[in-house]
Amino acid sequence: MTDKPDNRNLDDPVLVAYLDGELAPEARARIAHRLASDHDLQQRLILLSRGGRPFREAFEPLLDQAPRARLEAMLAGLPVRNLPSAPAIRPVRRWSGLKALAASVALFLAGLGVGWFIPMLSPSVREQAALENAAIERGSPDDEWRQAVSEYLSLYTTETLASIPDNAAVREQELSSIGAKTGLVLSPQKIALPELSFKRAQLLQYDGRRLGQIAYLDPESGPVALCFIASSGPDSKPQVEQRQGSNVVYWSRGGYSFMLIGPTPSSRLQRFASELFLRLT
Amino acid sequence: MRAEPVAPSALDGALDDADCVPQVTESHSAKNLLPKQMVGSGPDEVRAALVGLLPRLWRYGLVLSGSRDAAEDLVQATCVRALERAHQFEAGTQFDRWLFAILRSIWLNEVRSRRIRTGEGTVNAETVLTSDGIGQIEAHVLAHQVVREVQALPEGQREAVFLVYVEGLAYREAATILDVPTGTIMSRLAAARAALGKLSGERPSRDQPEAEHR
Repeated sequence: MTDKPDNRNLDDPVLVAYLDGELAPEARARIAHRLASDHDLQQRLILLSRGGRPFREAFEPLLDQAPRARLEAMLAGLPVRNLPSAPAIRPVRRWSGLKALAASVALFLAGLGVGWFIPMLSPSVREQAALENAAIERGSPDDEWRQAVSEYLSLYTTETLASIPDNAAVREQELSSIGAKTGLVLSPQKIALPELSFKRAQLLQYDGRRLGQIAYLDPESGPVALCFIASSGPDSKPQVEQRQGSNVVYWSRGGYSFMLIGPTPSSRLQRFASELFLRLT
Repeated sequence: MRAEPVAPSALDGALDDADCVPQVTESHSAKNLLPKQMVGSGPDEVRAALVGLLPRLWRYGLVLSGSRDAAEDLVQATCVRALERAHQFEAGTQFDRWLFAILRSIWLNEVRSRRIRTGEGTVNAETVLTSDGIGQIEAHVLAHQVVREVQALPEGQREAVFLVYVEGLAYREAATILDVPTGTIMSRLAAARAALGKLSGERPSRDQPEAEHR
């Protein structure tokens, strides 16, 4: 050690805090007052001041040396959720339970004759749905949430939404609430689709993630829903698919995956989607 | 040249109840950084936010371990844990601070102790970091020298200098991550700067960097 602790060293922490601007005003005034007349204290301040360096700039180049691509690939490969000591495996498909539930409820509703989607299924749509389901079985997690949503929404009927009274203030409150919880900025203007009536905004959950759902009623075809979930994937332009006999337009933008789903003809649904695509970021 | 730091123990904790530090609670636990209730965040938000912070996490891992490989392992373990604990992260808390605390706790509790158990010991930061880290940017002579000087400081001082002067954390934020009283941060910074100040005094004036540090 070249530096024997002496009384002067006891002032060092306060002097450094003084240099760093971390002192409260009174303490700052006190030390400034002492510095004005205390030569030894001035010498310590000079020494400590000399101990400053362009630290931030000096360590900056290390950031460029980080193996960024490898780290990002590693992060992308991590599962969404696993238990602290569980091996890194893909989580079990969460929607299978929902699917079973949906199927049973759908059957129940169908028994009551209120299933709006079943009569809509043309043979070709059915075939396509079967193909999609096969693809979904080995599909990406991004597909899975859309599948879960489409199954859930297949339980909606025109009556489900028609019974909700129109109340602009309540709707606005719902939107700002799910906006706050999902981080997506929402307003009645942003989500408005002129030909449809906005019926309800809800916060749902999929695989532990918050999922926003905005339900509309299309006087021509029935319930339409805009759903979104935070996503780490890249942006993508609107694409079209069919699930559960409904048309779907889906896209990703600004850290969210969106889907617009309904029994509405695809061209009409795409027109709605292109408006929402531009407004929601 | 190697820094001969003043004994930090002589100063550690000397100012625990210093009235000179504004808005400071005396002691923080790193656990307090993991809030009880998550509001508006989840694994996806955490993952998206992590991407941009990977280089800074890696650099902190490098400063702690002195090894590029260990730094990479630390980042991976930090990401895994952050995703597991995404529900504990509180929106509005500083995300980078939360991650630093996680990375450091993994370093202290797992990586460093494992290295010691397996006989690897802690890495000599001065040689490893300068040879395989900064060595690639020899052109930055001053940067090279500053990093060498910082890495030669005792671990406690090195971490305080890194978090406060490189990462720009307030004293109390660094105290929270290092789980020490704010006065200890002040003592460690003072010891580090006294040592570095002496080094400056020993060098020809041409090499003296300006005192600007934040």
